[in-house]
Amino acid sequence: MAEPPRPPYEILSEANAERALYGPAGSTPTLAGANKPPPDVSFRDASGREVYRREVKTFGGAPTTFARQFEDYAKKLDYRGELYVQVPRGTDIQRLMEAFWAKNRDDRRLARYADVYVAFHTPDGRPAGLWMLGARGMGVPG
Amino acid sequence: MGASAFLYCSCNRICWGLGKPLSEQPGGTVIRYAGNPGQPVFSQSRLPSSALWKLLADHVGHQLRVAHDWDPELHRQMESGVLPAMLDADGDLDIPLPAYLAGWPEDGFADLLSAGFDATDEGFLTCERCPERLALGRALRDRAGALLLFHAGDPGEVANSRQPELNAAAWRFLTVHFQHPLRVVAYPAGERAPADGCVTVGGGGSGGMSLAAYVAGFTG
Repeated sequence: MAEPPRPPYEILSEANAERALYGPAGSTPTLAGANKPPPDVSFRDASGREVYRREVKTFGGAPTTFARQFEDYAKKLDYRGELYVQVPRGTDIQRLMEAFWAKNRDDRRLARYADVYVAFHTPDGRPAGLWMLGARGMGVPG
Repeated sequence: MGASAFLYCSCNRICWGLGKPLSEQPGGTVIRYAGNPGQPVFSQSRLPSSALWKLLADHVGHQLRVAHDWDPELHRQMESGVLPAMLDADGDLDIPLPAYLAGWPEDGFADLLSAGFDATDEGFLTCERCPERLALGRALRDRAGALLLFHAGDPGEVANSRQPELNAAAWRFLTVHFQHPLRVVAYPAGERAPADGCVTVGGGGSGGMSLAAYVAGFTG
């Protein structure tokens, strides 16, 4: 059975596919491969130790969906690493983040996201903001 | 990049992140869901399996579906005004599995049957697109008629989530029918024959498919 049509904004751009491979200096990106559990990219040092982890997502939904899905992404990432997210140009990222924090009013629960960052990018690869899921209001707009 | 999969109900009360749908090759048939990091696969995990069987009982008659996170229908459902609780999540509105299962008499079939609870109906997990259904066992109802649980086999048999082949078959059904509209139904035994050509998995009837055959090679 054919999958439902995928909205164009949900397809990862070539620019972001390339940028997602940039990691800490001296590290080498290792791809999990298609259809493998997170993270999509594991950056490893010369000894093979993972020094950074990144999961790549696209998102074009509403803030309520963002809050729900990104909790789950963070959990599946074992609450460690970066979510590299492609969003349509013009997305109100502050609203997405506020929806996430509004759903997580309890700071003790929010604390489990302390090591999860969300790096937003437009389809042409431009940074659109870097935010900490686990720190209410903390982030740098793009 | 891999999309994640969510199991959700048309009633919009619940949504469950199952992790990435895994296939042997990109675009290929889904063979299992990745689940949570460091945990056994779903069919070998006690809590998620119990939760699945409770979810099937709770949502009898509703339309269930597993879909990609980008699926427009899933987004419409999530944005329809009622906020679904995320199962096995830890947000303020969400339901961790132990809380979801608290008080559910999963192992109480024999006792409740002896106490006079009704279990005359048979349950099936059906696909509304494919000619296939999974026999879930007898549907135990409380005195108000609400469905409590499904139980296959003798009354003394262990709960469905701990019957390895049946439990694996339930998880496999969700992978085989990824993105299809599913429905749990329960009606008196023998009242409705399956549609022509519909294969019944399990249940012990003639002409169906055995659970062993259905789950052969399944790793989820």
